[in-house]
Formats: sequence, C-alpha cells, structure tokens
Amino acid sequence: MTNVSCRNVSKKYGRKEALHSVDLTLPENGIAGIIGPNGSGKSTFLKLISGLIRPDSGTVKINGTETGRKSGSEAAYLSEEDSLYDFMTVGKTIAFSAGVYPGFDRELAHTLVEEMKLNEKDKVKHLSRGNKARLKLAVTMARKTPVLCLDEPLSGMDPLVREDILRLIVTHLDVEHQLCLITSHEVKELEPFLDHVLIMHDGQVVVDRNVEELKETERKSLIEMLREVTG
Amino acid sequence: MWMTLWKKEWQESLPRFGIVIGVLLLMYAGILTAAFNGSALALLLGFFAVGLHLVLLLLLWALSFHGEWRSRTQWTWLNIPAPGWQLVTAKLAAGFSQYVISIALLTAVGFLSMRIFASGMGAQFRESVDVMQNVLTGFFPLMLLALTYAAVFLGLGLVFIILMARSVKKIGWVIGLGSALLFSYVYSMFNQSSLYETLFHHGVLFDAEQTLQNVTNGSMNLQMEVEQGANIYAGQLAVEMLLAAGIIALLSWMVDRFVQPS
Repeated sequence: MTNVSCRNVSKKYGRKEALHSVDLTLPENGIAGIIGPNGSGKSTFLKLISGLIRPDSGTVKINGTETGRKSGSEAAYLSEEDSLYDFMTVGKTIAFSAGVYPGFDRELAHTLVEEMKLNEKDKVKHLSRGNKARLKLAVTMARKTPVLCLDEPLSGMDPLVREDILRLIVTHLDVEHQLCLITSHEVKELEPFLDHVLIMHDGQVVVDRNVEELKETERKSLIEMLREVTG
Repeated sequence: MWMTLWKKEWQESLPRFGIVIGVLLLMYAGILTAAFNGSALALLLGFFAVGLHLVLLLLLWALSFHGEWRSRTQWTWLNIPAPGWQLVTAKLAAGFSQYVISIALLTAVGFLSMRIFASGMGAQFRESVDVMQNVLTGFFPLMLLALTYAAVFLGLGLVFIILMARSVKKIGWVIGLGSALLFSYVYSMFNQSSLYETLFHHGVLFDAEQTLQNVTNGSMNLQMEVEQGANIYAGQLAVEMLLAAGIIALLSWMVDRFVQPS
C-alpha cells in the first residue's frame, strides 16, 4: 500500500499561482483520474508528486518521505512530451531503463513491447507518435514503482493508440499495490477505468471522491460534474 | 548505474564528436601537408587546433547538458533516481574521454609534423629546428596541463551557467555568468598572491628552468629567465583538482536541489 499526502501545497510560476494550498491524502492504490480545464494545475500536481518540481510551501510525501529529485524509485513520471532518447533503439531503451531504474521489470518491458508489435531494432526517432507513446508507457509500467504519474498519456493520440494505452494500464497495473495517477482531457474515455477522481480548478482540488460513490450519490457522469464545478 | 549513464552519454555524443574529429582531421591533413612543404602555415594551423581544444570541453559539455532540454528528455533524465553526482559526472566523463582521445590525436599529429618539418629543413636551420623540437618536447607536460586546466575550468563554468539558468527562471543565466566571472576574478587574485605561493607551491613536479637547460644544453647557449609560475607543483595540482571536485559537487547539488525540468 502506498501513502501519498500533500499538506498545504502551493506552487507559483512567476506571479501565476499554479497550485493553492492543496491538502489531501491520495487513495492507496488503483487508478485515479486528475481532470480539469487547461491551466487548472493538473500537470503541476503530478510533477510535485514525482519530485520533479518543489513546492513553494507545504510538503508532498510518499510513504512518509518528502518527495524530491531522487523520488524516481517511488514515483515514475511519464511526460506528455516525447521524452525518449531518439538515438536509442526500442531494445536499447529497455536496456537503458533496466540499468538506471532499480526494480525495473525487463521481462515485462519486452512482453509489452512485443504485445504492441514494436520492433526492438527500430530506432526511437523512426517510430510514429503513437508508437513512441506506447513505448514510453511500456517503460513506465515496467518500472514497477508504487506510484505512476501519467501526464496526458492520451493527448493527441488516435483512438487505436488511446485504446492500447488504457488496455495496457488496466492489464498490467498491480491494482493491489500501485497507485496510477492519470491526467487527461479524454474524460469520457477514461471514466470507466477510474477508481477515484480529483477535479482541479484554478489550482485547487475541488472534488476528491471515489468514482462509484460519486456516481451513486450525484447520479451524474464525470463530464457533467466537471462542467458543474468548473462552471 | 553510473556505467549505464556514461554509456548513454557516450553514445549520444558520438555523432557530434565525430563531426569535431572530422573537422580536426581535415585540419591535421592541412598541417601535415604544410609541414611537408616546409610552410609556416603548419604552425598557424597548429595554433588553431590547440585553440580549438581550449573550447572543446566547453562545447561537448554544454551540448550534453543543454541537449537534455533541447530534446525534451529532461523529464526522463531528472526522473532517474540516481544521485546528482552520478548524472553530472557521467556527462562530464563522457566529454572528457572524448577530449583525451582528441588530445592524443593532436599530440601525435603535432610531433609527426614537427619531424616532417625538421627533415625538410636545410643544414643551416637544422640545429635551431632541433632545439625548437626539444623545447616543445620538454615543455609538453606543462603545455598539456595548462591547456587541460583552462579547458576544464571553462567547461565547468559554462555548465554552471547552464544549470543556473535552469534553476532560476529568466535571470538565472545572468546570475550564473556574474558569479562565474566574479569567482574567476577573486580566485585569480588569490592564485597570484604570496599566500597561495606559500600554501601550495610545494613539491616540484615540473621544473621549467631545469627543463629548459636540459633541452638546450650542448646545442645552443640559450639562457632564458623562466618565471616561477611556469613550474608545476604537487600542492598546486592537488588544490586545483580539489577546486574542480568542489565545482562538480556544487553542480551535483544544484541538479538535486534546484534544477527545474520546465
């Protein structure tokens, strides 16, 4: 089980406040969707949890340890951008990841790559955008960290890739031990897979609920909830 | 983990190192041809090649660090759970190994062209060319060390500025440049002080005056005043290496504590 807690976390970029006094404890496992309009603070929230940026005030802790630059063994961050090394092949990307991420499941990475019909000899720079997204996710999943921070993994992908990505997460996430945080604008597509949802607006978490509970009590879809709270 | 990082840095930088070596090889071909024809152009090209090595590390290191942001791989690089010193030294070591290869090539070409140049000279110049050759051979350790010293500290200075620019938005590079210049000025003052001399000028590793006398003895009655500063001392070498280690520790700390991916 994983304990991720944020205590009065605020973050500014220049004068713009990206997060304002966020105070919450995330669910211990499962898939949690972080949704909200552009600029609501979703990406900033993920980057803070994975320790890539530091809060201006407050603390973010994973299992009692404050997050920081070396939190990569606790929280794997998947960027929206093409963050793979272009000069490597698919196979070399797996070998490199196995060399730098403790606990990396090399076998799982090879299986995932094979499942997605990627050729290990192909250079990353020659892969299509969709295949780069598939490879990025395969490597992130194989890191087997307690927390996965997936920043817009579906953004700009065609429906086939989106389906592949969601299937990969659902099939290979260890739901008993891992917490997967996903930011996305594809709320409808994501909704059936979510255990938990955070709705963000103007740098604050305005909804933090279990999806089943939310549906039972509010009798609304997530997209309707999102419209209502972000008005 | 460090070896995986070093291997990645080496492979990533190989194409640009290939370009550098390609340019240098063309220059070396020019040097050897000029030396064969007894042209002084060989000397000019030689100086240019040495000058290029002064900024080679700076170029290789800057491209390596800045490259993570340019290719948007900083998200991957900074999410690697290795301590900052491993991320930083893997990059520095890859660049430095390429510098060593390039210096070895430069040295080989330098000595070869000198030999070609000397063999093409008439008897009346042979003696002075031989002395010149001996002086260059004798002073090679001093020149190599001075060149490497300047290249390393220029490179570390630029890496510091790059990391500062990634730590403090907008004005980071100005703060980095300002502090690098200020530190160089203050340190050069200290370097020339009598305190520095008292503290670190111990254990002569290279005696410039002695070397000059050794290499000119018997051939010409050449007497030169060699400044004390041209000697290499063990104490001086140790403190400069400690300084480089201190700067690397600072860069590693910056990566762990202040560098931002976006």
